[in-house]
Amino acid sequence: MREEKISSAQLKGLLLAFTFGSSIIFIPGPAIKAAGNGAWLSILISGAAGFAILACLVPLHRRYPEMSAVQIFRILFGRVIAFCLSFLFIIVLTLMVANITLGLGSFFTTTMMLETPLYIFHFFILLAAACTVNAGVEVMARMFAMFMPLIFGTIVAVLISDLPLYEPGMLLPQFADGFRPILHGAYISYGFPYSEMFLFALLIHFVRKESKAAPGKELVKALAYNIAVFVAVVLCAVMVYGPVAGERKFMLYEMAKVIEIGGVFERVEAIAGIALITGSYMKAAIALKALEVCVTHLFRLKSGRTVLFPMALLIFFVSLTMFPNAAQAETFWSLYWPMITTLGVLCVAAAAVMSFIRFRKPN
Amino acid sequence: MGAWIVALSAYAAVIGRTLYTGRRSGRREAIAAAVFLIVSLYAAASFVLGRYWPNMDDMFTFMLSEPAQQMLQWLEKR
Repeated sequence: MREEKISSAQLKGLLLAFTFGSSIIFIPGPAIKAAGNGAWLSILISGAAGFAILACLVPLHRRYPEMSAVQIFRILFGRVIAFCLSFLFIIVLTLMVANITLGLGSFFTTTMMLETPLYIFHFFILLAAACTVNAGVEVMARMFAMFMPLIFGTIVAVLISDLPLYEPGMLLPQFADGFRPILHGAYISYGFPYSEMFLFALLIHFVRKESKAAPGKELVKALAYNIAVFVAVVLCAVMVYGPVAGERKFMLYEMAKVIEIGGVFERVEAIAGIALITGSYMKAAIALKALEVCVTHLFRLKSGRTVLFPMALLIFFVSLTMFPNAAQAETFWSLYWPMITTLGVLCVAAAAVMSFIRFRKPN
Repeated sequence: MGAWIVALSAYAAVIGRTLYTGRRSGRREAIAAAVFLIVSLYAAASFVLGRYWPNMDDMFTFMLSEPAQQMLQWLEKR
């Protein structure tokens, strides 16, 4: 079978697709709810945590350029510990794809298609994601590079179209309740999407060695773009909605709803909806690809394609049965999810530290 | 009824495809696919019967409940 390889720039595209994904719509609301007007600072703090994750990931890749996290764990920790850590990855990634699917399904059933059963959406989202993963990481990287301008374009268009509604005075006061709300907002945005970046330890080995730019630099650039856009969206959302911005669930969608230009151009939220659907689909596909790599390398399979659809089927049913109600789902991903993904981050960090200790040059 | 139809058709499609691709792949792949299918039966049964049974997320909720609640209290203290 031909080896799959992508360039550093394509990896940057994948990170952009993953970090924007669904979070650009889902995260500003809860972050503003927790941190109030200081949510922009929460994004900066959690973004800094994202850079710390990259600081673990990139040296590991430099040391083992052809290996995924599972193979690196095996070398650094031995077979038993590597199995436990990789199994944890499998569980976390399964929950991650299920959460993304559920988020998109809930978006549909609460905004546009209220009567349609949730399983219809979940089925088609996962089918699309599994077919994309089946096509290979090269196809994913090339296809997502076409979708990213759509998402960026939509975000920029929404932010510009809302210009007449901005009231900069809404941004004040800053830090009215002290620093803890800011940290709370940072905790939420750290969990979704920044801590989830640990899964790139399973994808970064796809970058070809002779790629022009260093993958580390490209990943840092992608994360910096993401943080800048997130901060802009949060600031604009506060300027539009003021103190009630935190009550809005799908922020970019809500911001698109209030666009009104010349009494003709209005109710264009469906366009923001397209960005959300595309973003969630890309994020689900990337996480599913990471899961496929994890399973393939853990069980030393020749190809992950045989297990791909059974995995998608498992995720389909898990996503439909995870939470009995929406409130429990919200508690899970705003309270527990950052801790769960931190387990994945800690595995990567432990590998980075171990690799540093083992291969430290003698004085 | 809809849930049953969706579950059965999803299983039929996935098993059919896995058998088709499994012929060209090895024994390990077939076992791994079978494990995923068997594990999925639990969640599938929970779905078609409309019952809320403990799931993967509950395991983490149980383990992390105490530290998460403590942290939330600290973060929400004004």
